Amino acid sequence: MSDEIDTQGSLTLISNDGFQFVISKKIAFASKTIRNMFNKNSGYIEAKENCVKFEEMNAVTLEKVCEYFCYREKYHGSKGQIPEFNIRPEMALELMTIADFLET
Amino acid sequence: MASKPGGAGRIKIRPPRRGLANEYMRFEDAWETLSEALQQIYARDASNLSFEELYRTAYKMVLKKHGDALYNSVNNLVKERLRRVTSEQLKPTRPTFAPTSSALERRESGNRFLASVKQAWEDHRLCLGMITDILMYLDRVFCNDNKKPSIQVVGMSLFRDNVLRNKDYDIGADLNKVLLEQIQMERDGDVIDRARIRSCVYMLEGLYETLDEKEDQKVYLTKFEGAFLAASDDFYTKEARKLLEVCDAATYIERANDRLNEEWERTQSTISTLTEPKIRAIVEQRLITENIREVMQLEASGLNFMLDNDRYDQLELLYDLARRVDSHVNEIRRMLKDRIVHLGKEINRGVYSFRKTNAGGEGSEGATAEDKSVNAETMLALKWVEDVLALKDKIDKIWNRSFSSDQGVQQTISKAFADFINDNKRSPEYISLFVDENIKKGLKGKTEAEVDSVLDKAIVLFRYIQDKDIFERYYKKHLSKRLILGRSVSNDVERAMISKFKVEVGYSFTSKMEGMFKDMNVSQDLTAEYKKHLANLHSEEPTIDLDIKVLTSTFWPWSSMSGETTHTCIYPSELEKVRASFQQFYLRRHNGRQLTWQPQMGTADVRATFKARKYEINVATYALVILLQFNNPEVDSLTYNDIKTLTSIPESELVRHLQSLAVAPRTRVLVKQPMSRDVKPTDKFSFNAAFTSKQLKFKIGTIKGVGNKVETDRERKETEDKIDESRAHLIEASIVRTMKARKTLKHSDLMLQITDQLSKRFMPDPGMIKKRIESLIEREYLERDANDPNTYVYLVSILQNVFFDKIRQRLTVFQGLIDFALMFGSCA
Repeated sequence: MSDEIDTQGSLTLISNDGFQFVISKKIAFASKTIRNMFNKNSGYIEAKENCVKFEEMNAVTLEKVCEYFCYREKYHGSKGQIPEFNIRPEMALELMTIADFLET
Repeated sequence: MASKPGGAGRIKIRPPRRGLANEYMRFEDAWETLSEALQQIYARDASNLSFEELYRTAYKMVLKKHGDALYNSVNNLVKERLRRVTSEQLKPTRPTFAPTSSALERRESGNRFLASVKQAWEDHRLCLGMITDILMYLDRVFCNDNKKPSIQVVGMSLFRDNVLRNKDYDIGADLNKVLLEQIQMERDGDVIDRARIRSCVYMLEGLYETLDEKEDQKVYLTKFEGAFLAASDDFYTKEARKLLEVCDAATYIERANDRLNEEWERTQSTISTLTEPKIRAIVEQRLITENIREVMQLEASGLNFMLDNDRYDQLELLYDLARRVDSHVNEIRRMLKDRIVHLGKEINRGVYSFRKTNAGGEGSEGATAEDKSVNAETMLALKWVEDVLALKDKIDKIWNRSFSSDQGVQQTISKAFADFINDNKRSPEYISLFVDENIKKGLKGKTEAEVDSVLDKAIVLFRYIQDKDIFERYYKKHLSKRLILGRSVSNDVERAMISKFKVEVGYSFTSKMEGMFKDMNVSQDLTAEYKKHLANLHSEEPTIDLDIKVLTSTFWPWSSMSGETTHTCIYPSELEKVRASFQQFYLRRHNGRQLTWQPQMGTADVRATFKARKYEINVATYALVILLQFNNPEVDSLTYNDIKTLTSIPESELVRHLQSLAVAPRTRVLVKQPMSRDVKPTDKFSFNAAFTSKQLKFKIGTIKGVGNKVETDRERKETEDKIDESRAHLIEASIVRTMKARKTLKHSDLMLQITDQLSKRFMPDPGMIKKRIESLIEREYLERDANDPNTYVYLVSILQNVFFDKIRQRLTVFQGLIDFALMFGSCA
């Protein structure tokens, strides 16, 4: 497979209630799903417009997702003490579903 | 995989279906969305598709248990698509392979076909990639759980079955044919589109026979490679035949090398690197293994030609090629050896033919003719050594430059040299003569490094000699003459040479030579002390300046130097006085020793007064003894017989010295009546008072015997006998040593042991060993085993016998210590 994916720059994630999150591509590509959307060879609309609209996610969830991306970027591969990633219990199930969807 | 840092680890958690469960979804609706999108993807127009939406649709379908249906539907869609591509795009470009079409046409049609195959493949791969992306969730969850091959894998196998093996059009077979045809064109010198072929090969490499995609199940390997190799094999079999017919060896190896490089390049740039070892094996087999011998044997250009003409580059190439198929390059080694032996035998033949032509004349023309032939043969011996060295130089250069200093090849070279050098029975003598010549003359005014290199050359040849004991004998003989006559350029060189021998074969080989040096030093001291002693005596008439050399008999090769056993003469009173005085002096210092005088080895400086003027003449001691007979005013002339009785010099020596005093043209200090070359018992001699010479100081050489020359056949026979004798001793000693340690030993084992022990010095002849064993059995050192006649038993009771034997040996050694002395007179 030729994976021509540009990790430079940033992209926009949009929740179903219209909130926009601008995040660095490199960080967002922790999700394989998002990564595949930006395969240049395929030329999907997401790659063209540099943004993804998630019909299944509201702003609160998407924010938490972005927070996780950053958290992961920060501590990925580091050896020292890693602080816990806080998830409110009521969000836990939904986030799990989302994680499965985004493959992250 | 959902993995939360700080969580309990990698536990797969199925998402809750709470949010989705109540959402109803019809498979047909969802599939319609997806299939439309797929069509668009195939149309290469995805810019209006939202990945998120498609992905979400597939995701939901899987969650709603429509995975199976989705999987099948997608596969069907791909299959349909591929069939259409095959019939619409590939079929029209299929090449015709009509035998009438020209090469150009075939190439063009082949190219078109390859291009369309490539296009179809690339499209398929790209689209399949995009579909896989969208259906990732299907792959990940459905395929994984149900152990089904992923969309990607199935897609590839669909391509294989519906394009290459389309049941209507055999695209795969066409492809093979076209590829082979194109490669053949390139082999014939055409230019082809390598990149295009390569992408088709990539395609074959990307396809597998089975769904589990095992490496050895690539379609490339199963379908294409075999055909390619078979075609190549066929091609190179023909190519080898063709090349052999039209090319000389140099061109052949060049072409073969080019072909090898070409095929290598092909595997790198056109087809798969997987094939590299296989195609290489084929080319090597057809072009090298099967034909290299024939190529090397080509009369006018083969290996022999290259060797003779120093074709380093060609030889190097040949070596490289041969090395590919045989790391020991046995083929080259065999031929190289034959050639060296052949060339070596040519050199030998030069010597043989000379000997043959001279053998007839010998005897009839007498001693002078023999002398002449000996002189010429000495030159020939030196030439032989130089020729051998030149050959060695030449081969070494080739070895170094063309055979990358291959150890195995070096062994072969050494073996070849040893073969022909030992083939010439006189080589030990010749090599010793070569050293002799160089030490006497050749090394004057050379630097240490140059001297060293000459000595090293001699050592190189020495190494090849099998019968080192023969060499030792000659070397000792030559060395002793050099030492006694003071002919060496320098003692350092002599010692350097001996230490080189020591490194080669060890102490036992050189101990006697070193003993000779020791004797020389001791003699110098002795002479000085004797002079001091004379000075203390205040003798009134110290007219003779004596320089004495006392030599230990065991170190010096006496018998081979003198020929005759006794050397005595009646010394004139002047000399006798000195002789007696020294003998007294010496025996007082070393009680119990015995001095034997060897006048034939000495020389003397004489100042003689002729009518014209005084001359200083250097003559041999015997000649001096003869001359002194005329040093009496009462003596006018003496006949041969008179001289013989007066001096009692052995006849052969007397004749020689008289010849050099009275016959040799420039040094006629005696007059002979009648004037003739030969000396007869009735000839009369008188002092030639009218003698003149241009030089004030000159030397009367004796005919024969001063310089080191090749032996005459008679001398040679003697030497051989001596050597056989000493070998017999060595063999016996070795047998007893071995048997004493082993007690019983089989015949063959004993032979092996003996040969092994002695091979460092010479190659013992099995017949000789057998004789020695017989002799030892006779003398009851050994006996044959009563049960097995092939086994020898060492007789313990004989211990005593050995003991006595040892004592006897001691005695002889002791006798050996009783010294001989030489006399050198110097008469003023």
